[in-house]
Amino acid sequence: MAKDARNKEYWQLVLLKFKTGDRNSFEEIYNEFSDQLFAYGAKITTDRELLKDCIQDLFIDLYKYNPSIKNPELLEFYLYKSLKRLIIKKLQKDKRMVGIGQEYYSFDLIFSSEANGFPDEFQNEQLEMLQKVLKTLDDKKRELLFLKFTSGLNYSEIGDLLNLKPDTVKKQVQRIIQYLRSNFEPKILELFFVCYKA
Amino acid sequence: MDIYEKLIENPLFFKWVYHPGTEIDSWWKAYLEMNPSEADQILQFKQRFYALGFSVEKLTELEKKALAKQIIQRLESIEKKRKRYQFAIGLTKYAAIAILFFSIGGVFVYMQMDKQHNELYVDESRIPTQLEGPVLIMPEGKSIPLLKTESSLDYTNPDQLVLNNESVIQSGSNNEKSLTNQIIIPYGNRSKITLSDNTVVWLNAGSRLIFPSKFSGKQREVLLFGEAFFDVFENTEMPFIVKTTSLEVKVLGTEFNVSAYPEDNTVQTVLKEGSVSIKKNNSGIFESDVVLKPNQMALFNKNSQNSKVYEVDAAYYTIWVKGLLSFDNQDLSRIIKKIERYYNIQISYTDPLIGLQKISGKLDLNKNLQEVFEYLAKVSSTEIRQIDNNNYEIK
Repeated sequence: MAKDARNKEYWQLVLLKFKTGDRNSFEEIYNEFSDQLFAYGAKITTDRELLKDCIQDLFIDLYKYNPSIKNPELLEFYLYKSLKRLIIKKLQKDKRMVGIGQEYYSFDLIFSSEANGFPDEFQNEQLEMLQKVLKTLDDKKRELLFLKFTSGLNYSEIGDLLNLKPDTVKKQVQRIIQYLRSNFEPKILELFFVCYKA
Repeated sequence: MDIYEKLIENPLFFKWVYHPGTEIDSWWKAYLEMNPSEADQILQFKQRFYALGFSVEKLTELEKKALAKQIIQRLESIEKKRKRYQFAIGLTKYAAIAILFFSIGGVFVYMQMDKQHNELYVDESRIPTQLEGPVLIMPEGKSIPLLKTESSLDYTNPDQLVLNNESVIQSGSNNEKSLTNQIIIPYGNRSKITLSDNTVVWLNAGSRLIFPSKFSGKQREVLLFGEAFFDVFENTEMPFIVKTTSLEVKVLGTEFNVSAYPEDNTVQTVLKEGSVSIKKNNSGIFESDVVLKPNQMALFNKNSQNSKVYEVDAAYYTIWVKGLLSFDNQDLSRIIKKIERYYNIQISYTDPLIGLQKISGKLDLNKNLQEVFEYLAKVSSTEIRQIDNNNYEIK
C-alpha cells in the first residue's frame, strides 16, 4: 500500500499497529509528521517547550484514546486538530492566570527571506512588500494560507480546523489571492493567480 | 485542469517542496521521468514555491530525538500500568474458576490449574555438568540415558521415539499432547534431535533443550540453555520460537545458531538462511526487536541488556555441527571455552591476558585432544600442558 500522507487506509493500519504497542509504527508516524506539526504549532506559540510538551501529549492521547475508530478520519487531520486544541488549552491556562481576555492566539506568518534559489526576477524589495501585505491579513487568513501550503489537508479539513465551511475556505483563499493581486503585482505572484483562478 | 492547478491540488507537491525526504523525492523523480513533457514546468514551479516558503521553526535533530525518547518512555509507563491492570483482571478470572471448581472437586481443579501453567516449566537445579552422560527426561519423569557421546533422537513418528537410529522408546502416554521433554547434554557430548515438526536441532556440549513431544497451539516453542543449531522446518502458520533466559528468537523457517550458555555474558545468534527476529525477554513494548539477515550475528550483552548486530560468515558459527570449530579473529578465551565444553576439560590461564588475543583458524574436534592442542598452541603462540587428568594450563 502506498505510503503518502493522504492514504487513509495506510495510516489507519499504522495507527492500529501503534495502538498495539508497535514501536516501529510510532517511529513511522513520528518521522512523517513531527516536523510539519512543529512548524504549524510554532506559528501559534513561540514557546518551544510548551509546544514540545503538546506534541508529547498528542502522541500519548493518540495511544490512550480511540479517535479513529469512533470517527474514522485522516490521521494527518486528526494530528493537526488535536495539536491545535492542546496548544490553545495550555495557552488559555497560562493566560487565565495572568487574566487576559478572549483573543487567545495569534498566527504569525512571514515569508522566509533566507530561502535559497530565488528566481532572478524576484527582488528583495518585492519580498518585503509581500511581508507587509501578509501583515495586513488577520490571523485566521494567515493560518488558512499556511495550512493550504504546508499541510496535506483539503478545504473541508482546513475549514474544520478554522471553524469555517469548506466553501468559505475556498472563497477565502481566492479572496486573499485577489487582494494580493490588486495591491501587488510582481511576477512571482503569477503563480498564485494561476493556481487560484478557478 | 492545467498542470499548475493539478499541482496545487496535489498535497504531495507541497510535501515535496516544503518537507522533502527520500521517499517523496524518489516518487517525484519517477513521475518526472514518466512525464518528461511536464518536467520543466514542474521543476520551475517547485523552485518558485520554494522561494515563497514561509519561514518555519524547526526542531533540531537532537530535540527531535529527545522528544521521541520522552514520548516512548511515557508510552511504556502507560503500557506497564495497563498490563498490571489486565493481570489483576486475569487473577480474578482464575479465582472465579477456582471457586467454581472447588465446589465440584479438588482434584479436578488441580488438573485444570496445572494445565494453565503448562509446557515450558523447568527444573532449574539440573545442570548438564553434574551428569555422568547425556540423558533424555521423559514427560512422566523417567530418565533415559542416550548412551553415545554423539546421540540422536527422532520424534517425527508420533507413536515411537527412535534413539540413535536403532532402539525404539515407547512413550507411556503419547495420546496426550504437548508433553514436555528435556534433553541434557553434558560437556564432551553432542546430540541431534529431529522434532515432531521435522525441525532438526544440533545440541552442542553443555546444553539443555526443553521441547514438547508434539507441537500444538499457535507457535512452536522450545527452551534452550547452551548452544544449538536449528534447521527449522518451514511453517508460516506456526512460528518457531527459541526461548533462552534472556531473550527469544522467532522464526518461520530458517537455519540459525543460538549460543546462550548461562555462564557466558553474551547470547549469540547467528543466521545462516532466512530471517529471524530477536526479542528481549523483559523488553518494553515499545522496544523494537532485532531482525537479522543471513550472515549477520546479534550479540546480546546480558549486563547492558543491549544487542549489537555484526556482519559475519555464518559458516564459522555453525560448522561445529560437523565437529569442526572455525573462528575468524575471535578471542582465544572463547575458543578455549568451546574446547573445554567439547572435551569436558578445564583449562586455566597463567596470565588472563592470554585469553584476550584474537586468533583465526579452524580446528577439527574429531581428532584427539593432543592434536587439537598442538594446532591451537601454534596459531596462538602459546603452550598448553596437562596438569592432571582433566586439567590443563595455557601460557
